[in-house]
Amino acid sequence: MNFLSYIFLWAFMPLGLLLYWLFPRTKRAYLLLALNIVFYGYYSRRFLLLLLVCVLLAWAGALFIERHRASHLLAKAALAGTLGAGFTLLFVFKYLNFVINGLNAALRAVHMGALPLVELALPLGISFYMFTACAYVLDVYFDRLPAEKNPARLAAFVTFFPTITSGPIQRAPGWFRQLDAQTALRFSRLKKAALMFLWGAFLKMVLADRLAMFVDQVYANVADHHGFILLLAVFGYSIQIYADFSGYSLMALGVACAFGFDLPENFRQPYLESSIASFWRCWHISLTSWFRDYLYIPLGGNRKGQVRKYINIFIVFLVSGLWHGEHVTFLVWGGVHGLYQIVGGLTRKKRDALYKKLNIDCKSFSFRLGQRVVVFVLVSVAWVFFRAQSLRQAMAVLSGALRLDNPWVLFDGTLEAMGLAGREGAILFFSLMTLLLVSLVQRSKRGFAWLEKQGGLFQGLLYGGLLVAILVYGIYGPDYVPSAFIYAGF
Amino acid sequence: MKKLRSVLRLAAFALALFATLDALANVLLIKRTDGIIPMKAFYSQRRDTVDVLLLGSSHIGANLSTAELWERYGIASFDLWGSVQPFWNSYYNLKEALKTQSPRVVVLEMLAATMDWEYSDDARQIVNTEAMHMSLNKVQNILVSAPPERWGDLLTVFPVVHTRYNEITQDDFQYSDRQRMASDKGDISKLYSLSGLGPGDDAAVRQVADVCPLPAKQEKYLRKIVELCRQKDLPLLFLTTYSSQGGRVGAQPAYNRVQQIADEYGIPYLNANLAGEDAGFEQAKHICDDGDHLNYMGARHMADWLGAYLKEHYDLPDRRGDPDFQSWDEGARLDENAFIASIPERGAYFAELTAHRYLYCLIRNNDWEPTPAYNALWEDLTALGFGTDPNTSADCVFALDADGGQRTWEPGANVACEVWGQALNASYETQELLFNGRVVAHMPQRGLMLVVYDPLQQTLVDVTVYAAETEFALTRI
Repeated sequence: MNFLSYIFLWAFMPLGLLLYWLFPRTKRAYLLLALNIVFYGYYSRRFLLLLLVCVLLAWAGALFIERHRASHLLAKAALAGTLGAGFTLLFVFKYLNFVINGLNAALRAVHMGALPLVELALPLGISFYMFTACAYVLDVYFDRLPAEKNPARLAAFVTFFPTITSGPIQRAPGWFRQLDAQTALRFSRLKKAALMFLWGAFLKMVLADRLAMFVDQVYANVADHHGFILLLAVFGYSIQIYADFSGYSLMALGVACAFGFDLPENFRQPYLESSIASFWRCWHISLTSWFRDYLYIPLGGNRKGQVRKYINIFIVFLVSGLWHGEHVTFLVWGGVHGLYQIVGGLTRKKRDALYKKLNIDCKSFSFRLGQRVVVFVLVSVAWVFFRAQSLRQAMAVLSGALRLDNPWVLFDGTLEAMGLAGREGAILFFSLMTLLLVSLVQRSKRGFAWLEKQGGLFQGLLYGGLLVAILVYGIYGPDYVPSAFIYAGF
Repeated sequence: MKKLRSVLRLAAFALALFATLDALANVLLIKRTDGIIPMKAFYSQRRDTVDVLLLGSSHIGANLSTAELWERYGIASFDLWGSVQPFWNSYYNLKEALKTQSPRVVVLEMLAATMDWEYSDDARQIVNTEAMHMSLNKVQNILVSAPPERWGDLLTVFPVVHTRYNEITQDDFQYSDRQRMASDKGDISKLYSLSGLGPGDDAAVRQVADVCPLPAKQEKYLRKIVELCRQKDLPLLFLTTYSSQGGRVGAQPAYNRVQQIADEYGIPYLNANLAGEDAGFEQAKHICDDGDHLNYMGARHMADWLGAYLKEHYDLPDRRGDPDFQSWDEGARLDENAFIASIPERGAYFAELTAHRYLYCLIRNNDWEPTPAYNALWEDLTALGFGTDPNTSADCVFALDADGGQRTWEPGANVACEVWGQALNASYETQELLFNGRVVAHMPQRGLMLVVYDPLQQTLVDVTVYAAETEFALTRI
């Protein structure tokens, strides 16, 4: 079930909400679990069993760890066993063929026969719910919360339907606290939920999917394009993936909010950041913080010297790349970001000294704007590896984008034919300006809290305007494939 | 108190939002004449004015002239049809129509009896459902017309219309003008050209004795229509309009089954194919060259034939002259205007013009040698009332006033004149003709342009061009 499907909007959501808020507070976890099963089962019934295995593993593992906390060895073994089993499942479903392909390449080199590939479909949202479950076990191990005795309550958390397919990745302490503290539904909560959902839908349907039409055209035939078209596709994809994924996250946050859960934001205007390091503090925050808390810090973080720190950073980004999929392009994407961080860290002092020597005012608007442009360009270059089907295609895009010898394509109607100029271009431009304006407002006025203080008419016009913009200018209808959220593939 | 205020504010917001979305959907709705516009026009009719309600497919939408029914018999009829309309759409259209109208007769056209499918194609699902106001009828109409995966799209309207934001013109906003829409009586017979098909054999269809069962879903809804009319005590008449030879012979086994059903219920059934030449129908004269429909003359003849039957068998008052039915006068006039603007052949064109009362303006560009073709054109123009041969003057504009007087404007780079209270500008610089600031035609290099204006509707009817290069044949540029 997709957030934008009729079944979700017309049946699941209204009925689910009604039932949920009429249900006795202490029993809501059971209803939530039922809703989660319906939501996930509608997508893929056959992987419900895998989901059940994952929940039972986390439930039993956490209970065992708690009961044997006194014996560090047993607790540690239980932790290793639970996480090992979880990651083995993830490995089998997501990375086995990647490893077999690697082995086959090696076997080919020594003229030996190839191993057969395993035909396994990727269970929807496996990376997200597996990380959620693992984080819960780790939190119990580190004594951040007690192990959940009731498997149904834990299942309700791990399979929480707003986040199960594409995140944000949940943390158990806050989630259970909110489940237990819920009282009655307030109108202000519904209003906030609706706004988040509408703004997310706007980003996805009006902006991301409109850009996707252009970007997909270019990436489908990279050899047919070069220069400015490829350059626009490179930058276009940066906006597209942001609008797509942050749009989805906002819709998930909106849906969760309507059910009484205030989930932490997953994006905080990352393209307004002035460095790659700060970009990563604002992009896919739930995953970044997961890696920080459960990988970077356990690896030693920055506590073991500069060299170890950079090695740790590089490892984290490689793993992050791998988390997105088994393709080598994701690995390179992660590696590029790791290198950005390392080079950035190593050259920081020298850059500061250079600015000082050249008498550059680092607080001036032009300097800060320049920093953001550089970050955007660097991130966009890395996204090429993320978007491309192969390393060869990524290199073709990057080298082609540097051959800027066709400026006429900006004026001769090519862009209009590709949906970047004319009326479609105007819609795109206004959508981008709206995104920029909202991002600036969110950054300086703390977003939704600011909006709640505005007049009713203003709020009404905003809600209505968003809905009308989505209905009229959104990319949807009979030919639209509603499951095409980029992160639903991970 | 605070809670009540919040609820009221929310209700006001929801109402305003619904009204905005409804208006927006209406603007975006595809304004197709084969289903959408008839339904929109139907909602603009005065309550309880439609005496004869016509239902069915294009075989009633294009094959029957409501204007002729009005002008010849004073019958106030409305054609609530849709392209390839199955009986289930006709059924819900009838239910919807009965909310505001109390027809004295319902005429159901029978082409749907030959349609063997569970659902129409995508476009036909839209034209036969989307213009209906949101109601239980609309919901049920959609549920029966489309497969489940299309229900959401059709019920919410926007998924099927929103991509039209690129095509919106001034016209899209004018369909909410109820007064303007009231003169539209649904049919599009005026849009079908005069040219005919080759001769056909009327006897062949009468020899078809086979009976084929109707598709189950069609028969189910045909019977539902019959039951509804019985329940409402509404006289019902089955009708098959005249078709081309191939169509009438192929469809007759289904129509034979319709006859059996009609007999079962005691419903009269008029089959123009069986009446054929006895009723004055001629394939060569009345069938449009698309082979599927009657041409305008055929649609008029069909109306004459049906009107005579209706007048004889039902209590249908002559509504002409009744101020409550003025929109039928306007509709007939607009029908005539639209028909004139579609006539492609000069002889028929001038014959139609001289039969009605219009005002004219003639614009001349350059000189030409008088030829027999030009002389024949000049004769036609003389018949309209022009007194001065334009080829004897320099570039200029001639207009005929309502009182028959002719005015002439002197030549110049731009001849701007006010005729019939409208601004007409013949720009010899850009070689364009502008009517109230809008370009309506391009001048021929050497030749004439004839502007036809309707003083009753105060509207431009047509601009035709007669160029020396094309031997003064009728063209429209």
